[in-house]
Amino acid sequence: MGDKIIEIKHLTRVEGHGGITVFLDGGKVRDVHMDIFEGGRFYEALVRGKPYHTLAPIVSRVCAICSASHAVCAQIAVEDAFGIEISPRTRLLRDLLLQGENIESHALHLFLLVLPDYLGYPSALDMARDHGHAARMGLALKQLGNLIQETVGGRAVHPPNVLVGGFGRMPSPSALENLVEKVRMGMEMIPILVELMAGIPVPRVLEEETVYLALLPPEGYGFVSRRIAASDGSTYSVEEFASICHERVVSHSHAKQSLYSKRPFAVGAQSRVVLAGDRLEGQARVALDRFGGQQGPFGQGNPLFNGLAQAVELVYSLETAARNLQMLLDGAFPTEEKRPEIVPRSGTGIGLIEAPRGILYHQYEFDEEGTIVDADIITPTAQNLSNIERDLRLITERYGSMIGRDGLLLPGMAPLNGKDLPFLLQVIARAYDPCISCSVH
Amino acid sequence: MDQLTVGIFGLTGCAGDQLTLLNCEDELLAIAGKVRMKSFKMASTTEVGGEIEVAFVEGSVCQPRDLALLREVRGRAHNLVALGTCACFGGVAAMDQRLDPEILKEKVYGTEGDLFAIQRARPLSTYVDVDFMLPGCPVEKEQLLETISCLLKGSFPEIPTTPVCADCRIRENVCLVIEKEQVCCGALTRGGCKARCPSLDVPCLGCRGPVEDAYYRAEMEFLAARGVTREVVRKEMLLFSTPAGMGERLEKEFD
Ligand code: SF4
Ligand code: SF4
Repeated sequence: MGDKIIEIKHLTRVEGHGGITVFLDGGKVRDVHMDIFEGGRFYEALVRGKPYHTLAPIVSRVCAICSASHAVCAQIAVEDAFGIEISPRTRLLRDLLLQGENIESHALHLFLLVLPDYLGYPSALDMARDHGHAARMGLALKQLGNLIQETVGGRAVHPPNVLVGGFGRMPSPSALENLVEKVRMGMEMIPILVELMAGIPVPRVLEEETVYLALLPPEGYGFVSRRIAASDGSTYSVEEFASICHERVVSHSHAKQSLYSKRPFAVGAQSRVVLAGDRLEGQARVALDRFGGQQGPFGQGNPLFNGLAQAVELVYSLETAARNLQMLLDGAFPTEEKRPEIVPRSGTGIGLIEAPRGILYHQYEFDEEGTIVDADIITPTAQNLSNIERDLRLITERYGSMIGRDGLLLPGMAPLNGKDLPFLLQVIARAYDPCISCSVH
Repeated sequence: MDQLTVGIFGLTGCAGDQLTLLNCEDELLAIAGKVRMKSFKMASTTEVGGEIEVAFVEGSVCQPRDLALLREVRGRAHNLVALGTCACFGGVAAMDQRLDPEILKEKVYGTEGDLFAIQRARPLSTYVDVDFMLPGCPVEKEQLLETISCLLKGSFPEIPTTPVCADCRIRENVCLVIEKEQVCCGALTRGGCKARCPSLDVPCLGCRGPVEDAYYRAEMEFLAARGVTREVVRKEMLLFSTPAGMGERLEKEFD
């Protein structure tokens, strides 16, 4: 028997351009490549020589879906370098913006990109003909996430209002009031959302020990922290991140890949639920328990549970947005405030946040005028790539005999007629919600 | 009538313009009912070859692979729409045409071998005929919807050609340059965004590309009189549209 190749030339229903190639040697899997062929824009080199205040608008263009995360993370790095304290109102508004982004991003992925896989359609638009209800709920949630981002950030994509130290203009109380009503309507969807997701069986195709990494806030569940936790029990400081998430250049991918102690690892909604699910409250906690609890299926190394983790986080983000809005409106903080004075100084600053797809790291070095001298950006998808390749290899080893055969039979799922191994490989890769523009940047 | 056949393609970019289409939540299902989508990889597995009436192409050409796709799409499409500032003018990836892309690549990837082929970031019109340009970073949703509804009727819409300053006057914003001593690209940038940034007290960075017949000399004198140096112009005003000539023209007027 000669060598064989399974080639998925272009992965669809993901952001950006990538494919999958599996090299088979006789019956054995010789190698698996997640081929990332997205063009490089070389942001880390492009921003050199630019003044600090152009940084967020430039790097938000790394990726549209998580542009708010990139903008906020860049500003945190600038503030870290210059020693700037932000006000509680700015902190709350930024968190609200990130919740909006998380709602938009998760709704997009879950309803428009992944659900068609489970329900057997080529796209959400095709799915909408038979499952209009699910498609409309996804669109409504997505729209709500966008409205939050537009209100706080000034635009649903690439938010121009996010500045160093604060906002160009804080959203007015009436704009926030309008959001309260919309978020309340979004929250009415929670029970239906949870039941819908609970009714879709997650195929148990893979259970492989996996290392999960996520940020651990000082308290509660959340997206901003300076501390990183790993599922092996270790915790790390922000300064240690670049070295524990060792990035290397690989020849088949325009995106670098990461290893943690020489091992692949996973970041994203599922990792956050594994590491901080016990901190969830309210309906998010109820949803988590409905899906089997934190100690249940999430930490077993099946990436297909990422969808359910995103559903839990949709609930969390809706509840948190409502709470933030209430705090912003109850008069505890002045509605108008001046941004702190910004005095550049030379040095290094690090921004670290949980973007929808996982840990996002920005590090910049500035000169005394605040001009960028050096930059390092590590994105969630780049961190996940090694783990995705590992999972694709395991899947091929397990289901290799299905190649070219119709009617893939997956545990806990109706036979997927007309679908075989290449389809399953795509389902696995998509479950990670890869954001390929980000991974290359 | 047959349905309009449409393809949505991405070269190198952030997918913000494709996302803006997906962000038309209220209209998306209606649009889907009116067109026949032949390719939209970000949203669908369906891929149909052959001719397309309208191809929307996002992103700039940054590698031979992009160019090959662009040429293929041009060959299939009756109408080619450049979607977003990257496609129209090069966008962020093309911000500084004096930088050697090979050196940029080496700074990011080190010298560990030449991993992949690249080329200097360029807009679509460098290589193929473009029938319609819809600028914006990302495109404005209303203008995208207007374009689609015009295309369904067989025409292209009128997109504003006035500068951002005109939008600012309509919104009665104070001028950030005159009143707040900031560096703003509004006078040289095409409007149509309702002056999003100046309305938030944030200077325009030029994300919609250069306005067609801007008076560069007057703008440079105006800025120079306020102490804005050539270095500041180069660093702060040339983030999106240098290949469209804005950079060269600005620099020239400073001599
Ligand atoms: S024009 Fe802007 S929004 Fe569109 S692809 Fe380029 S960077 Fe992204
Ligand atoms: S004001 Fe300028 S930077 Fe802002 S959206 Fe409009 S064109 Fe783009």
